[in-house]
Amino acid sequence: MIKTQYAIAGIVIALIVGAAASWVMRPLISPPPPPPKAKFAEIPPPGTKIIHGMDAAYPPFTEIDPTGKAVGFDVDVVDWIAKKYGWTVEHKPWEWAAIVTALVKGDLDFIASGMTHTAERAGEVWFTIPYYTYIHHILVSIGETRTKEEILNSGQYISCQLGATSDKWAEKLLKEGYKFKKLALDSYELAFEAVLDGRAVGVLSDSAFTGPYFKERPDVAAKFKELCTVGGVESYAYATRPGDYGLRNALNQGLEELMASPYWDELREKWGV
Amino acid sequence: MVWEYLSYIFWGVPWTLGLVGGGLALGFIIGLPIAIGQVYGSKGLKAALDMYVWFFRSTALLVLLFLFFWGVFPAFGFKLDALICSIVVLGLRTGAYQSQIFRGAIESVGEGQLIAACALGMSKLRGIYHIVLPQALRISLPGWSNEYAIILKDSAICFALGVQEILTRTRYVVMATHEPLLPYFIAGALFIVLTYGVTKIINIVYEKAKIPGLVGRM
Amino acid sequence: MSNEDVVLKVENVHKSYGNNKVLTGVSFEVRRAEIKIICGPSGSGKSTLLRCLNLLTQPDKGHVWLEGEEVTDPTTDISKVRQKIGFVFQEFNLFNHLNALRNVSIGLEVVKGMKKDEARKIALRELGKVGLEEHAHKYPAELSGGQKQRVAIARALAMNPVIMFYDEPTSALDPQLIGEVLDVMKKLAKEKLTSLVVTHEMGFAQSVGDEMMFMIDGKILERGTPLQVIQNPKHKITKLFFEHIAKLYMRQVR
Repeated sequence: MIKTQYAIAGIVIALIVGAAASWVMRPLISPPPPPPKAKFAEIPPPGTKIIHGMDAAYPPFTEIDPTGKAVGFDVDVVDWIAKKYGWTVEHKPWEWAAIVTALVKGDLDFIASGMTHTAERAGEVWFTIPYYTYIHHILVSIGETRTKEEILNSGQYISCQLGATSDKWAEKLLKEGYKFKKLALDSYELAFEAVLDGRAVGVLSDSAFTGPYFKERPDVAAKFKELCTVGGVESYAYATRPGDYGLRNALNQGLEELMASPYWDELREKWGV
Repeated sequence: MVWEYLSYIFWGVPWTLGLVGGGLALGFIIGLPIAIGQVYGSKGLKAALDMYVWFFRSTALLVLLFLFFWGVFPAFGFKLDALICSIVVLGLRTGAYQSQIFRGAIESVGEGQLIAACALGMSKLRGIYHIVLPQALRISLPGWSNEYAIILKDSAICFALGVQEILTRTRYVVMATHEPLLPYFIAGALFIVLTYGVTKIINIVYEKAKIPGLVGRM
Repeated sequence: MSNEDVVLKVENVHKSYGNNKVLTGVSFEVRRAEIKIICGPSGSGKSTLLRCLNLLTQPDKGHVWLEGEEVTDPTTDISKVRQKIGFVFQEFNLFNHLNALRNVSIGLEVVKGMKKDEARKIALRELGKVGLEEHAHKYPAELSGGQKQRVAIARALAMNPVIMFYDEPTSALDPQLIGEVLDVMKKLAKEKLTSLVVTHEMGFAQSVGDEMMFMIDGKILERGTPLQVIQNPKHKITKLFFEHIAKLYMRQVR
């Protein structure tokens, strides 16, 4: 016989757990709550505080200077646009994995951080016009004589950055049937070094990284040559919440104006992009 | 190059300590009552406390951070600052772990002394406060200093909410300088100092607070 | 025999743990200045009885009165009742984080709200009564078993109780340490401190005990003066018990 106290305790606990479970499952059974009301449906007036979300670990587009201040190509562009409209901008570093959630939830107002315009992201955020294009490519040692087909089917290692778009492209190539081994490393620098070491025959990088990197390290640049490109042209754009028409229009107009001006070339020269 | 960034990395220390200190303190305030409730409470109370401990110990910290930052607190109508939210979540979690440390310590004091205290006329609560806790807290110190070391490591996970503690800053410096090893080496050294230094201090406190004659039993 | 003479009145106390009936109807009275001894084989419920009398254990049935106030009445302030009873445990139960002085004074400070200086003065005096003033600053871990139990007695005395409960106070002690504790108890008995003592120490019982109660299977089987019960018991079981004890004593004396 189960003692009465235990039975009552069991029933009470079951009720609480049941209530909690149904509370958690609510979104699955009822329509999700409406998205937050658009903060910037109109163009933000001068003096508005706008929070610019960035991943401070992505030079030369976004990084940190020794005093901890946010700097980078994207930072300069954002500052220029903010000045144009009279906004007060706060450059807020945020962890890349959570940055889109932060934007959607309102902790950030837009993302400008070397973010690629992809179909997947476009489901959650709406992008501005593109402001930078790049393409993935495979680089090999300058003395390499083999062709693209030979390298890709050599059965040897091709390095890339772990978790980055180059990693995904390597996977795509493997799925297409090419016979090489993927060497995913923690950073692009390490991936390039792997080729110099001889551990890998080629590195799958993207020109958004390679360009500035080679400009900064001509000694490394001298040791490589481009074997081929991979995939199509990709572009960076700024991300905003879907309802913020005003902010997005302002950013678009700012970008177009800036890109048409000589300052744009100065910035590109400055940051090597 | 990296040397220019030294002060930037070092300024992560107050943030890390804020997270750790705040989390530990909150965890203490939560954990001790839970332990008392689990040892001396009614069946219903014990069941409820067990659920709390189970939930906060089994859920990953990262999940908890997101859950509270974007789920729980907004559901109640307010939005917490990233640092405060991180401290709260760390506190709730370490409270669950600390409660088990305290619970073991309280149970090891033995019920005889509490019975004697009641025989003198103390209420159970008074007995717990004057007789059980002074001994249990001393016994808890080594396990508690271990909890400090654990939270110190966990504090790095709070970068997910944008808190610029030591490890986040180190990553940024690595990217900005293209130097993978040196900044992490510095951060590692910092963490060793923070872990070892504070644990040593707690040990000194433990030695000073030891009850004469009870060496080896504790 | 007027009622003011009765310090402790126990009526029909029962206690069971599940199917195990530990106390099956115990009744007796303790008068002022009386030294009452309870003895019996282990499992007879002696310790449980003492703990039921100040509600450290809740009895299932029965009533207890201390100086006319009903202890078992749910509306009674049990803390006040317990302050009037000095309890000495078999396992001493000293507070390990406090030195001897503070062990004795803490009850006064916390329960009676006395100022620290006054409490410690009284504590020192009580420690003197049990012969331990020089050890006042030692911690329990630094004391021998006999010293610990004497501190425990001092701790109980400090609260100025109207009756002392001793729960097999010497059973956990080495034989050579039993003497010092019994001497203290004898001294207190001679000062007419009402006491209820659960013990196997027949020498002590015979020298200071006023009445002895033999307990078995949860109730009192025989009572009388110690001499009567030990040497002239009415029941065979009682006789067997004391013969057994006597044999143990002989072994120890030799």
